[in-house]
Amino acid sequence: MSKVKVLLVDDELDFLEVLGVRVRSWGYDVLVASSGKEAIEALKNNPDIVILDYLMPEMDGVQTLREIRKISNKIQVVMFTAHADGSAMADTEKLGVYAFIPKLSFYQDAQATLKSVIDTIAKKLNKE
Amino acid sequence: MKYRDRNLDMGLKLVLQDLNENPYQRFNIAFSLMSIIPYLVFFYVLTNKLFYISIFIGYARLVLFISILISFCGFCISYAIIKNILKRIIFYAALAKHSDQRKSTFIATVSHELKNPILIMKTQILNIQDGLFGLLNEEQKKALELCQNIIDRISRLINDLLDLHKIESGVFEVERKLCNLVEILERQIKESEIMFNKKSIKLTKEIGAADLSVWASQNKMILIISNLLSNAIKYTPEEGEVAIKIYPFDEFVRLEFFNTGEVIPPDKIEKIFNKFERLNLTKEGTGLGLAITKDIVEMHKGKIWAESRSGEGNRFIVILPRDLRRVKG
Repeated sequence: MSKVKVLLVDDELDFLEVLGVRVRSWGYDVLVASSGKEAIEALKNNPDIVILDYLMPEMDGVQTLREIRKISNKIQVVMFTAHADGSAMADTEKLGVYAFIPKLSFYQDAQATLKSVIDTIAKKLNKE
Repeated sequence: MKYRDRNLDMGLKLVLQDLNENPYQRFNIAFSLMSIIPYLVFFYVLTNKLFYISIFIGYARLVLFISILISFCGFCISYAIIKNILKRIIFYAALAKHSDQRKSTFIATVSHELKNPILIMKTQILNIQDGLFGLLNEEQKKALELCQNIIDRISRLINDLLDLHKIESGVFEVERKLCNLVEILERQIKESEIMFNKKSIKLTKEIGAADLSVWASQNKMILIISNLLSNAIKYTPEEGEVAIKIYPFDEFVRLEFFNTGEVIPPDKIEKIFNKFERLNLTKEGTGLGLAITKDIVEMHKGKIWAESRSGEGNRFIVILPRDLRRVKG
């Protein structure tokens, strides 16, 4: 059984680094991309899950998600953002987002949610 | 009131300020000039019917011509005035909308730029605390815990400042609906159960009716109740008491949050709703919670105040109109 690959997409390089450490500690392979464009490039490495930041310059989370969906409908996408609102959720739900996780101030909650979401997706993928 | 209406209102207000004279006076002049036409028609019909002759013969024809000319000029002038005023309203409404958008962008940018670095710090400290970079001794763990607490404090301050900015700049969720305050209160109490148990606080509730709905923004009602509830818990000593009452009060709903503990001195009772005013500096908090609560209550045309009795405790009272659409002023 191969390791599940998680692609982290965020324009904050420092955030990518710290989240990468965390997700690796959960036992997953981590790929990183610092923009929507890089994320599309990184799809060549066949990630199973994409953790996508909603607010990014040039290509934001929703635009990146649209591009991802043009290439694959199989990849599970989780939106991760500091600025969540109802309309953002509605937009992304149409594009088949698995979960929408706000970057909460009390980070432990958001982190636990993210872990359980990734674990659930990984279990599903392994069953398939 | 919806966003669009607010923009139009603001546009109209700015137009009135911009025009040195009263625009309604101009409208009146323009419309009186225009109204000559129906009077002429009325007289024409009346004289024809009563006297079987028209008054508009001979010299009177010239009078008729001049009158029609005046009416036509009146019509043109009023058209120009109305067009001008409408143009200004549209311009200012667009300006108000643009200003709202700029404020929203500011909030989004500040959220992103401030929250992200904090999130990164917090995550990395958590990584270290969880031993992802090697095992820690007790002292190192304590030091990192202190850092986490400080980060949480900054986080709360940023959230409170952003909330306050949203309220004061008018970029605020204004979608209102009927919200049952009893339901919100029960939910908030349930969510705070851990905190009540942790300090062994005795909680008593007095609920005057099962449905006490107000026409308001649901999220902001949650904020009012959670702020006052957490305030009560925060300032109640261990094994102290918190009493919450909610009941109908004429056309209002009255909420009371009483807690035992350190009493607010009379000279401070008015000031506690000021920004950054804190009763006890040793307690956690930004000093913005009550200021935000007061802003929200006033935004919903309600009132909030505090009462304290030495030897007993403090009581925070909120009254909110059941339907603020009916409240004048």
